[in-house]
Order: sequence, then structure tokens, then C-alpha cells
Amino acid sequence: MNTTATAPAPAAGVQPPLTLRSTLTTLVRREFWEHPGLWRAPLIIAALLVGTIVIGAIPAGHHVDIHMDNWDGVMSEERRAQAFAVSQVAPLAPLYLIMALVLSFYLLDSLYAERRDRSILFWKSLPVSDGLTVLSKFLVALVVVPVGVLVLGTVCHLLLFLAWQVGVATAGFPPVLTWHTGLWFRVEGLMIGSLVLGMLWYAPMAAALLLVSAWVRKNPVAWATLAPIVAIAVEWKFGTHYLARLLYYRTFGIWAVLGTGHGERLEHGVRLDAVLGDISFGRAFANIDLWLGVLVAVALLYATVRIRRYRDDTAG
Amino acid sequence: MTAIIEAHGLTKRFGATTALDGVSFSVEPGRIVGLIGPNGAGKTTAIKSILGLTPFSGELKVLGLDPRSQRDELMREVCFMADVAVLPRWLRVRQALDFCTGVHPRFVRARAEEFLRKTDIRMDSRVRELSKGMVTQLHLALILAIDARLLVLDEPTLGLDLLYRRAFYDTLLNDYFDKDRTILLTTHQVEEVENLFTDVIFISRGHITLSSAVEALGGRYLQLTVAAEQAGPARALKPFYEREVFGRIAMFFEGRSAAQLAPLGDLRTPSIADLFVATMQGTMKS
Repeated sequence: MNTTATAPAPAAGVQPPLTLRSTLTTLVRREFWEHPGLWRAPLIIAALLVGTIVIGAIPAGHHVDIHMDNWDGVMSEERRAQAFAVSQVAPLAPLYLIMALVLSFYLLDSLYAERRDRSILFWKSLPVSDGLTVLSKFLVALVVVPVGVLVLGTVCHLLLFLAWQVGVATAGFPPVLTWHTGLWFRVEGLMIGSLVLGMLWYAPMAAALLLVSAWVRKNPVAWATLAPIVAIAVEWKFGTHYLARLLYYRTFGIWAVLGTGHGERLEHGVRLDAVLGDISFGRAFANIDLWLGVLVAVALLYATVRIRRYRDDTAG
Repeated sequence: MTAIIEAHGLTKRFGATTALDGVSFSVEPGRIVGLIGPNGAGKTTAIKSILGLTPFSGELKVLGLDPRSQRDELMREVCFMADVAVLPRWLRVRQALDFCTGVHPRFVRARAEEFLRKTDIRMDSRVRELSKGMVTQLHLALILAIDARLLVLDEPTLGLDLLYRRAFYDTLLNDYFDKDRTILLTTHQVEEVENLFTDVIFISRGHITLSSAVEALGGRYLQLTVAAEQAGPARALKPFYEREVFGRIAMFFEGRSAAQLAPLGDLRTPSIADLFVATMQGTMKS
């Protein structure tokens, strides 16, 4: 027998040895081949955002005429800093929204589609463990795409800022944005922290969707939506709301802990510093429910791997 | 050398049905084994057990490994191809090569590319754009490029026309098979591939009804064809199956000597297909 240890392979077709990392990279690439929506959808949203401002910034003969010669008097430096910070965060809202939607469908489809089209028999004919396969899908949804979207959001903001400045010069946009490097880093750090927090907080949700995807015989989307709705309705009949509360909590709970409840107070003259200072990652990351959720996610992933290992509805 | 597959008392139940009922068999290295049985006989269950795709009870070693607990290790040296429909339709040819290169330590990409160059398959085509025959060629290209010790094929040519089927088996025999490799194959089209097999295992209702090297079949089974009116003396030697062919009767014997049967009519070694039908009918008469 030729083993790589004893006999060197012939020169033709020699490949670099496979490592866990290279295998995982291949598995992640595979996910983007199958689900191009994972990168296309955020990119389209980003293009629309930037495109709108860029088109507005192209001089069109008529200036937006706001009859205000002295913006410095109208907007304090503090206000401009606020506007800058908001403009930095704002592109992420539509991006994260579309991402949550795309990722939910992706997770529900990822372990179901391969059973539906029987391609699981092909994937399983290759030396890739069920654990690594499930992990690759989980990482795509929880790490790869969210990090990509954060980068995209950051690039988006820079382009928007640039387009806005061009617009100020050429199309009469109000000069409400000024660059604050210190603030930019502070807000960027805040977004990275929130991203990590979000990954941990939504881990059980993502793992649960994967479990549904690996488990149900048909219609994972219906199972994931109708089953909770029916359960909530039944509970309602008996006068309790545990499930509804749980789902609401697991969707939004951590952001209340993080302390962004002061967003609307920006309007009423609260200083930006106060709002930013109010955000406490220490408090959020020390939250026991966050880590309990991570434990639940590990258990759900383990169950998903077990199910994929022996799930057999391709019997002919 | 030790057996490639070694099964003892392999059993698999689905609720009340028993798909495999204490089956024992072994497959030696360098053989091409036909696993032959009617639908629902347990062929696919046996193959899924060998590949660690389904849990089972009993003892089963494949390449010395337990498919239940050592599947990941096993799949480095085992290659598997079910019927043509398992390649995902969205996959591009180049992606299929990229993927195998990225996850299979024994995949030699250049070999797959060389085979594909001889076909009409383009690198940027998606599986859904290829004909059934071309999808099989693609899958075959992937398999040829994997340096595996055991190749398991489950109805690999189902739904293909004759030309593709013939080309498939020719390639397999000429470009792939050698003394270090073992092939386990199930198929419905026994007549077409019976010259390929070195060994056959007949399986029926979860039991193995015959397991033998092909060259040993002649010494064990004989087919005697006699005119209908002269059937009496031959029938006295207790054929286990008989059927009428153009007014003559073909009788199948087990364990009779050629010298004993030859004077009674035309004697020959039965084809695997005939033998399969004979043993199946024989056991199913009950």
C-alpha cells in the first residue's frame, strides 16, 4: 500500500497536505457555491445604499436649496459628531436585517436540501465527518457572513461619507458630517463588540434552526415558523406566555442588557459621550443567560451531528 | 492478506421488517464482487452498513475498521457511488474538483482532469446542465481520481442507455481496477456485467442464498437442457429449478457431477443471470 509516510507521491498532481483548516475552508467555500444569496443579498443592499447617495451627489443643475448659509450656527460640533456616529452605524441596520433573513433560510435549508436531492450520499462518500460538516454550516452563519457584513457596512459608511462630501461640494447637500477619527474607532470597536456579543447570543437560535433542518422530513421553514406559532397559540389558550416571552427574550434580550436603551434620548440633548458610556460590554458578557445559551447551542449542535450521522431517508 | 470486508451475523431491522437477518460473508482483496438480489432483498441496507450510513447489529469489519465508530477514517480508503442522481444539481464541474481536492487526501486532480478532457464536459458547466450520461462520466472521473482500496457501487448505471453503461464498465475495468483494489457492485442488469464479476453474492429477503467465486460456480452448478419428453430421468436427479425454453426444459442442478448429467442432454455452466433467477425462484417457491 502506498502511504504518504513511506512512499512519496509522484510529482504530477501532488497537493499540499490537507489540514483541518484547509478542509474547513473548502467546506465554507462550498456553502457559498450552493447559497450565493449569502454574499449577493448584502452586496445588493449595500450597492443600493451607496448608489442612492452617489446619484444624489451628481450635480444635476439644480441645487438642493436649503437657504442656510451658516450651518455652524445651526449644528454644534457635538451634533455633528452625533450625526457622524449615526451615519457610521446606520448602514448596518438594513444589512443586518437582510442578513438575519437570508441566514435563517440558509440554516433551515442547509441540512435539508442535501437530503431532499439525495446529494448527502455524495457528500458522505468523501472523508468529511458529520461534525465538521455541521460545524462549517454553523460557522458560515454565525461568523463568516456576519463578519463579512460588518466589513461591508464599514466600507459602505466610508463610501457614503465620501459621496456626501462630494454632494456638499457639488449638489448642495447640507454639510452636517465631519470626520472624527477618534469617534470612528470608538464606534467601530463598539460594533465589533456587539458583533461578538450577537454571535454568542444568537448561537442557540442558529443551532436550533440547523437541528430543524437536519431533523424534519419535509418543509423545514414551515416547521420553524408554524410550530412555534401553534405552540404559542395553545399556550395562550391556557393563559400562559412562556414560549412567546422566551422567543422575544432570545431575540432582543441581550441588547437591553448591553444598555442601548438610550438611543432615543439622543434627540433630547443627551450627550453622545453619555450614550456611548452607557454601553457596558462587561455587563453584557457577564450575563448568565448568554453563556447558558452557548451551552444550549453546543448541545443542539451535538444532536444535529448525531442526526446527520444516521438520518436515512434516502432509502430506495 | 486479510479480507477487505468481513461480516458476521450482520442484522438490521426496521420496525417489524428484517432487512438483514444475521448475514455473514467476506470479500477478499483484488476481487470484483456482484451483490445481486431482487428489490427489497437487503442489498442497499448491506451497502449502507458497510459504508457506515446506517446503524446495525452484528459484527462488520471493512478494511479492518468498524464502520460505526471509525467511519471518517474508513472513508479515506473507500469510495462510494450510488446511482447518477446524487451529484447536487447546482454544483459546477470545477467546483466538484475543487471540493474533492480540498477534502480528500487521496484525490489526484490531474487524473480527473485527464479523464474529463476525453469527454464533452466543460469545466464551468453545472451538473443540472449535463445529460444523465455526462453526470455519470463526471462522477466516474471523480472516482477514478481517488486512490481507494474499496470501491462500492450501488446501481451506478441506473437509467443510462446501453452505450454509456458499456463505456462505464469498460473504463472501470481498464483504467481503475487492479490487484490492490476491490469493487463491490450491485446492479439490476446482471446479464450485462456478469463477465466482470470474479465473485457473486446472491441475497434474498435478508439472507445470503449463494456466495461463491465465479470460477467455482461451474463445479457446483450445472444447467442441463433436455427435450420435454425426456425430462423424466433428469428430473429424478432432483434439479432445484427448471423452466421451459422453446419446448425444451432447462434444469438446474447443484452438486451433481458433469459425468452423471452429460448423457441426459446438453450440459453447460449456467450464466450468473440464469443462476440468479434459478436460485431466487427455487427459494421463493416455498
